[in-house]
Amino acid sequence: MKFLVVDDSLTMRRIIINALQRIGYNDVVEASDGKEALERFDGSIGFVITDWNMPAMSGVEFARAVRANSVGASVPILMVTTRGAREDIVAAVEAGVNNYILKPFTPSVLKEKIDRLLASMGAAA
Amino acid sequence: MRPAEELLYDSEASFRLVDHAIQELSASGAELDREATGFLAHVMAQPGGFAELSRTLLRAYAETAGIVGRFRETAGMLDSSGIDKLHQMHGHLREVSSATELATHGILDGLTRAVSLVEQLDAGETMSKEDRHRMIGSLREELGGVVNQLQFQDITAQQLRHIESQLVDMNRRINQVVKIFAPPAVTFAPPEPVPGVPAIQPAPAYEMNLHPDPEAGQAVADEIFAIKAARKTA
Repeated sequence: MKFLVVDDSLTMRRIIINALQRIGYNDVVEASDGKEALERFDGSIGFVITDWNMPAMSGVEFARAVRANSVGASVPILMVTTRGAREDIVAAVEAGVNNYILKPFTPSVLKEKIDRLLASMGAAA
Repeated sequence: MRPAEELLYDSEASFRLVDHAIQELSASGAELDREATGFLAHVMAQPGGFAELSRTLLRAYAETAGIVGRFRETAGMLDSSGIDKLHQMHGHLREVSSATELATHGILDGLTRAVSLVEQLDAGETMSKEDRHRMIGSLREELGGVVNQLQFQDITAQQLRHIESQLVDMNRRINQVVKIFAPPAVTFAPPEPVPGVPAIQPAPAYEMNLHPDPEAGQAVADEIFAIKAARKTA
């Protein structure tokens, strides 16, 4: 499965990719904001992990754009962000995000969310 | 009703008293505009003095109202939200400092444990294969934990970006105030762009996850997310 990791922080992208590789996912595409992620988003992407606060296009805007695209209607989107307010979580759900991780996170939380999302997507398919 | 002549006399007498008081103030060292005092005496001596005085007072009122308006405008630029922003920035900087310190301790603790594991592995020539395997697993976990602690860099960067945009906004406000009161030559120039560093963009304020227990914070987020997602699909 190919992952698209979207974060403006190079450190965070490296941490997430490092965690993904430890779980066993090595096929990863990176983008530094929502706009760049949209350019890289195609039918080959099977899972999206995105930050919220990014220049050019935020993670929530990116999620909306993905959901508006027929190719991205059912691709799991996992938001990894520092935004912890209730209204932010609600906005993420409204935008089409499938699950939400707060930074700082542990690789075990990331694995658990990915497993759960993939299982639910498999069940829905 | 009092005759017009009587009213006129009383009014003139009042203005003379005012004029006398102004002259006394002026003489006592108060910084009073002598031209204005002279002008007052001059209009009072003219046949149409009252009409002129009325126009002068109206002009003075308009000028005073303009000055008051400018003061209000200034107060608006330096309103309580500006002060609140300063307090917020102070709070964010403390959060950044605390998060950085916490992460640094986490990294140091992880590295200390990792070094200890390496030393044990180095010394344990007679160690069983299972123990060795277990210790290597622990070492891998410790090093993974150290990498994970580096997330503080992103959290710190986001907070500093927000503070930076707030400072730019305050610079803009102060410039507006300076334009009202100071000579045109005086300005607070915006920060010089740094080569290779993107220009400062407005960064909205938001509530950061600063839960002392990350697991508990995640549990709260999960609960909110589950409730909202269930409502959305219902």
